[in-house]
Amino acid sequence: MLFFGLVVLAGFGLCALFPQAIAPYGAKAMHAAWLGPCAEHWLGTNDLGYDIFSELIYATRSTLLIGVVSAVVSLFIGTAVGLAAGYLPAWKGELLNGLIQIFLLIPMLPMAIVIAAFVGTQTLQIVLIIALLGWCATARTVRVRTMQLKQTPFVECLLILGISKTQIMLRHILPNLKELVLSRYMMTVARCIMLEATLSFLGMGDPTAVTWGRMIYLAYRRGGFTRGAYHWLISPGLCIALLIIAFYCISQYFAQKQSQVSGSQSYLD
Amino acid sequence: MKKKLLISFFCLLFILVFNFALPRLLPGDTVLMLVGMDEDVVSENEYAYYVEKTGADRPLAEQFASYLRGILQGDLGYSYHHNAPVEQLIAQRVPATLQIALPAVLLSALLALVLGCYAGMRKGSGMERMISTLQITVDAIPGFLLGLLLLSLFAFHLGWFPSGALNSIVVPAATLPAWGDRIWHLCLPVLTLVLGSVPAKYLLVCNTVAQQMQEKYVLYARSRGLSDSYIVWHHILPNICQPFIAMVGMNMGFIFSGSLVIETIFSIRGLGSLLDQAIRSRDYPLLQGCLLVSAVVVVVANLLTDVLCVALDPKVRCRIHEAE
Amino acid sequence: MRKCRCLVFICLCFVMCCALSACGGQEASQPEAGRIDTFIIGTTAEISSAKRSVYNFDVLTGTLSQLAPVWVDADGVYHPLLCTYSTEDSRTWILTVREGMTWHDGQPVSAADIQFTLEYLDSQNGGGYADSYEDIRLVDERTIALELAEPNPRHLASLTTLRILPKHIYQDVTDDSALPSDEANIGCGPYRFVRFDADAGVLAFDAYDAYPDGQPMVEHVLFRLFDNEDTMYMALKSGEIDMVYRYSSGVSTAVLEDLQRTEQISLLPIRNTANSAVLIFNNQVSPFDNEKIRQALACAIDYARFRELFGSPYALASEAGFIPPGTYGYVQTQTLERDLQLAAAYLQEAGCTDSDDDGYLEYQGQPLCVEVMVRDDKPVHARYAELLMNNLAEVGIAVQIDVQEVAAFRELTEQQHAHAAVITGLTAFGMAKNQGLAALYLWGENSMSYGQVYDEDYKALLDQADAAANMEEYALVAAEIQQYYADTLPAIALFWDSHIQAFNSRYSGFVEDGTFGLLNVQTWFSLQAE
Repeated sequence: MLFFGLVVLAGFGLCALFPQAIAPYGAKAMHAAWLGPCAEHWLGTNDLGYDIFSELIYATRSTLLIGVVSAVVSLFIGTAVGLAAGYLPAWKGELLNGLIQIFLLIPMLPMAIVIAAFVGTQTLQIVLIIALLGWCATARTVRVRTMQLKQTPFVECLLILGISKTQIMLRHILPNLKELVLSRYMMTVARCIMLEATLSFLGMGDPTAVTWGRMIYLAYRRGGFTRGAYHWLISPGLCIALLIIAFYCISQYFAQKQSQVSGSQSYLD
Repeated sequence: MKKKLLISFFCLLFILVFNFALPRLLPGDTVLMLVGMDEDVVSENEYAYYVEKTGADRPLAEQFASYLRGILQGDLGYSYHHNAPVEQLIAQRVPATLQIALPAVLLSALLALVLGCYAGMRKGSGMERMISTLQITVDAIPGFLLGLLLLSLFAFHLGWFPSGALNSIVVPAATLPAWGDRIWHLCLPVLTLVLGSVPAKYLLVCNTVAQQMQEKYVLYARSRGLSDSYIVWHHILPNICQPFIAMVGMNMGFIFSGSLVIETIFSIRGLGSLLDQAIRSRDYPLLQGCLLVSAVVVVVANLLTDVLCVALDPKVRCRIHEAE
Repeated sequence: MRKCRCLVFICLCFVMCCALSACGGQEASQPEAGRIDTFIIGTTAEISSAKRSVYNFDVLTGTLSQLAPVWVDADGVYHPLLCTYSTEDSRTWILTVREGMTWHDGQPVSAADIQFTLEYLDSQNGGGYADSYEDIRLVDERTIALELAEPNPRHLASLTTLRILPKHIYQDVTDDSALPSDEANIGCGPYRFVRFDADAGVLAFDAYDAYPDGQPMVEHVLFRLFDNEDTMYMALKSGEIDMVYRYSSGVSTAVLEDLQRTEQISLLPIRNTANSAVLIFNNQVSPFDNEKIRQALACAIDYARFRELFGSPYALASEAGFIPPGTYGYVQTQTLERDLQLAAAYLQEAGCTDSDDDGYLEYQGQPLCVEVMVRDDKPVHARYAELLMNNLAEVGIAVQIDVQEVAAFRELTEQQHAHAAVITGLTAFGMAKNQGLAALYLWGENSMSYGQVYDEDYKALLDQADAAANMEEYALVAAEIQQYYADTLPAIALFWDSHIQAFNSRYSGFVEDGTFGLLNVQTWFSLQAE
């Protein structure tokens, strides 16, 4: 599982880093439009005559970038809030927990749509919107784990030793969250990519950045469906699916490692 | 329960404050943002009219008070693009959305439960691996793509199901055929939603059941000679039903959002197609109304599942009595 | 005796034949050959309810149940519809309601209804109808005289979409959404509104028996509303619907090829004076204030490729004169073609050099970068811009695509004029506004001026167009204006295209209407099914 995930991820990583070396044609090289899959164009060409296979490879970078960056931001927020909510005593922790619960209830997609409608759909905005809406699941998991750790004898020892709370939180509890956080991170990237694709499909993606979600949107809006240009419609979808499965596999590995350390934790919590 | 209510209340309050603040705090013309109009189509008279109608020239506190008062009376604002009150537009569309969302919630919960228990009993077997892999794969496919593929396959290539809408152009007059017609039309959209929402619940059930299989009470039951399936349905199920129902409640939001995305694909005139229009015309009041309504649906669904949990779970019931 | 019997026999035969033929005649008058029971039209127009205030619904009723006084055919010739008309001096227009016209509730249509409609629309829209006339007089029960302040030979143009309201229903109504829909939708056309079923997405109309021109060829007309264009074309292919329709629009070119391949679908191009793919420069700002640069760009664009990728098979090569054929006063100017050498020459003349050898030119010490603004609600415009980017890269001009949300696009272009260039589509209505010939979009002082042309010569030409006393004079000025465009290139049409209409090949006999296209009152009387 881990191996499969890593191989796929490495493959996409290479595509994102060196698209020029891998793609058979340039991103904007124009050929005859609406070609089906053939020897020269493995996945055919789109409405402008771009080679779809090459476009997929070039789009890897922006797709991954949006997923990875927004996941980093949301992970950061999520871990910080979760840690604080789990560790801080009494009402402070409760308050933060309440905040997490509130954010968990907010319907993500309509919220993202409303914000994007108001602030615009450039890449930066999209990244921020996804990040600001996606942190709460991480926060919840981190909080639960932190509370477990707080009860463990080693934390009590540290307390008796007179080490400050901040230090305990950052130096001693945080490292113990490593596997959990990594596992969460992988799932968050997958989820961010999915949300970006959905927003793009609704016409709320960055029109200048070609992502896989936007490719599906264009294929759909430019008649790929009616023309039966399924290669244009499905191949970005397959890439998304493959990437998400890869992230899932890797996160499963970390989750298992984590549960070996601490007992049980399913990825869904 | 009290805490839950408090959180639900604050969640809705947050959305309200958010909806109120967003057009007023962002740079740009507040009035135009409030009405969702383009500058060029608004004449000076109309602009003055909008200022008066939205009350944008009054102090913020006063605006907020009247905004809250309006919301409490069911006034979600006015869509100037549709020339109709938002609540009226949404009320027209919600039934269609619920018609695909509710069956999807129920069916996906049922399917996840059955599949999850079945696979959870056999954790580690080839069958379980196959089902889990399949679920994870389906989960990784974007919902809208799934919808498009199902539509293309079952409606256009095989012709088994209609290509969209909620009923035929001429609805059969008799009640029973009319119902059949509606269900026939609901098949594809509901299937899309079910496929997309089963995996998360399935994995939860499967993992929990597998975990419970290791518990001592299962061991005792086994040593009493009870069959595995009897144990799952009679002993494990009551134990996992609480987190499962909570999960279904949380999932409601997911399914509701999912239905918004696929409605345009299936030409269903529900909230989703309304939202789609609102996105294209940047009809801000309508967008915000949709957000609020989705939030209410999610919050209510969560509260309902909590009540259900309490009703089903003897432990929780008893504790309440103790507390009283 | 035998002769007599023979005679009787022949007489009998004759009588029988007569009777038979009479019977035959009667039979034929009932289910006439080629009559159609139900005709289903698919549309992606957004219709939320069956109200006159819902624009798309209002437009659709104009093809069936609501009549305007006159209709215009594809050649721009006007014909009576609800009314016959006459004028002597192009200033006073006499409209007479045709004999036998009744509202769907049986009341006769009268001249007072026309007067009421004009006044009612004034009160609803803040003017522009009754107050555009100097005088409105009721001559008799069915005749009305409309007097303009100044003669206008093209006045009937404004009467083709004026759908007359029943005075007896609307006279005390200020908010028409309060009326029950069966009453609010009473019209005088050959069809009456039956129902709007939001769940099925269906609008239904039935033939109105008392229409004076007789029974239309179709008994029931249904509109099936689609949210998704692709689904609609699939439904057309599968025969679920009989035709697709959208007001002032055609089948999207992306699916055209596919529809062409489908046997049971017929395609028909109709006239289109909209300029649906244009590149307009902001002629006030650098580098587009330099005519050489505009010329260079015009030579660098691959027009053939634009037509191939985005146009229908009926797409026309655009001309430097900017105004599409079919527009009144159109003259042929030089066809726009790609010529990279000429483009390079123009660029050199303008003083562009590639001093840092990065493959892109510099102009006046700055990199020559064309910022093209497009709106985000039309994905195809961004595709045009993308092709433009690839085209211009070949002559060393960088293109930056700036996609703006519609409101911001309008604000930035129409109000602040902060754009360098835009790619957009211009509607037929907008093209014809003011002096016509896209003056609305080009003359710098107009509110929607993308072109920002402040040239005195241009202004003088527009003034002449304003002063034209009749259509012939106007045509002369129009030719000069197009020559002006061709010489200075303030804007470039990327290609011209017709609106392609698609319908099931079982049907024939469509009539083309200058306003509504293939769906119109005439079509309902001439439509044939195989």
